[in-house]
Amino acid sequence: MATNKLPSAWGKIFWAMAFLLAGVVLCGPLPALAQSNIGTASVVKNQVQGIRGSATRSLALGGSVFNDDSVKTGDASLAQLLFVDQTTFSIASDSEAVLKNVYHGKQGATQRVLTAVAGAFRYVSGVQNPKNTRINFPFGYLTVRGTIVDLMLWPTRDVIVLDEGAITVVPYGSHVAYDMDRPGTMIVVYKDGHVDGPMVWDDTMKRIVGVIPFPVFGEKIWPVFVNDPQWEDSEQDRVNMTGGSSQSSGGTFCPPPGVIIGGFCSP
Amino acid sequence: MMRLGLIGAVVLLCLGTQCAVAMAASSDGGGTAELARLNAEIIHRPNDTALNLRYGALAERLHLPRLALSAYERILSYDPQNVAALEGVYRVRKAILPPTTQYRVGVGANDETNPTLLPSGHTPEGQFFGYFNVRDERMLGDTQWRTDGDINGIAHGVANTLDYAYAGATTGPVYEMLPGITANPALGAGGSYLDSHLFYGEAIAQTTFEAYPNGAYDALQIRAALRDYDSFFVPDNTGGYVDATGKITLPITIPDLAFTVAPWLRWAAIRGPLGLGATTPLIGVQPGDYTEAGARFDAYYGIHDWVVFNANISGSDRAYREELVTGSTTEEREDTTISPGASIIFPHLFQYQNTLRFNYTYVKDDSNDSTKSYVDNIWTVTASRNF
Repeated sequence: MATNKLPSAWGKIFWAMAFLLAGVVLCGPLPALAQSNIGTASVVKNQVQGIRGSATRSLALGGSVFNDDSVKTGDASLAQLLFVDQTTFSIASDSEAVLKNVYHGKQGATQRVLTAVAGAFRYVSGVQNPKNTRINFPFGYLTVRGTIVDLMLWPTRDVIVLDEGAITVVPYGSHVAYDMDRPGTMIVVYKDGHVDGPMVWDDTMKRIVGVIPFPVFGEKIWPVFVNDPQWEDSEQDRVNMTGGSSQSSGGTFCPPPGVIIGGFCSP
Repeated sequence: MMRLGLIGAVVLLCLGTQCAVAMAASSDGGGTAELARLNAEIIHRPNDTALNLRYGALAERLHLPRLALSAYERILSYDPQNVAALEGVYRVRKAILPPTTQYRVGVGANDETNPTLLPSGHTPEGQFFGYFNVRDERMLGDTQWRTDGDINGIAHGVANTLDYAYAGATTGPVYEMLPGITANPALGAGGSYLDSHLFYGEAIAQTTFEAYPNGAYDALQIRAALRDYDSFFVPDNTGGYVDATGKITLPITIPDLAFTVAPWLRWAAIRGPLGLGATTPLIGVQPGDYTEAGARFDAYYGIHDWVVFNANISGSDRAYREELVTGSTTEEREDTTISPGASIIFPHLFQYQNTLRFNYTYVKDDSNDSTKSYVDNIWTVTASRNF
């Protein structure tokens, strides 16, 4: 009898395994499996490190990034992380971000949570439901709706520039939601929750690695270096670009005759 | 039997899901599925240029420029001179370029020791000035279009015959000449006001070339203008000028430090109100028949996030035609001007995109006509806002 029952039990196990295998193969990986390797380093320029717990490794081109990894870039360095859903997350020089996939069992969905710790970043949403992404930054968070968004972080403020699509920005200090759907605008979030904007971004700050500017349209005026002070000096430009007086608008910056091109007072 | 039914149901369900995805993909001729397939390949070979270019081209065809942007930037990260990727980035940026109108408003005050630029006997004074600038940038059809407008004016505390105002605008398309190099030909017009009268009207044609080699900003503007002065000041009063001005960011990457040099060359034939032009620095291109060459050098140091120090020096040489040195019948006037200055700039004061700036400039003009040489000292404070 026992010998008769044994094949039957193995048979159940066999069918159960086959069932599971079919599910995995046909329906894609289970969320729990997806939590390990969550993306690929599709750009690695100079020093890019992957940090997991206390272990630090140099990230190689094409190398995997994992759930809970921190990715840190050095001076004049750049990383771009590419995900299966074609989302990319670019990390400028001297920057750090933490990557996490959070599985919400109730909704049966995995939320991608990118935490920008310091530096400058660009998020370009792929083809997955963009609502399943949240980007944290020191003084708040944002959710996206088909978006290119740049983040520039300073010790005292976070600057969010919307290049395409729409986002909702929520400062931790106030929990007021700011919907932004006009590309070319920005919002500045401060620690206490107050914001400046949304307003038209004046192009006066950026970080450039190689030929890649942060934000996307951040090349109109000026290359800015490590701490990105706003090299704002452009009030003279339009005056002189139109052939008018250089001195009349604070002309002591521009001894006559003056012409300004692109952001600075020149002679 | 039940087991087989269950398995069958699961298989059908999963196949159904795959079919739905496939059907969705087929609505764009399979492009979306192909894009996903290319992305899967890029994950394994991220620096395969041909693969990234195929992905970028397909993403653009599917009206997903943001995905194309990432692909082209991937290529440029390891091959910054790749022409196809540079062209692709420019094309995509143009496609996603948001229409923007940016305003700048500023007010300020000067304290100037020699507003009339006299060799001696000058009277110091205070001045107030203000300006309002607008830049509009948008796509008109397939063409990027830029319009600049400007209104500005200054009121003098003592030398109020020099009270001056200007309004003008230029507009024109922005083209990519070569990957990473744009040209902005523009036409414009403006008019000015001096001492309670119309001063001059002008028509401007200019082209501005801009490039960003390795992120640095370089530009060259070539400009020509015709200017017609009001007969109140002088009778025969039409003239013009042509100039070229460069803006070069020096490739020195010291943290928090930036340098620019801006050379210029100008040929002017503006008979105009010579006396006025020679005694006020207000007119951007001063009246007179002359050829001038000069350069300005700027260094910026970011002391902190909220304060920037600027030091600058400019020098120029102006050789006049048909203006003789006082007392001479043959020697033509020639002026050399040296002008060092320094500024402290407070960006984002109280609110983002507010700027407060303090500036000092020393101007020393050495002319071979001693009656035209002068020294001037100017202290300025300016508050401005961009929005």
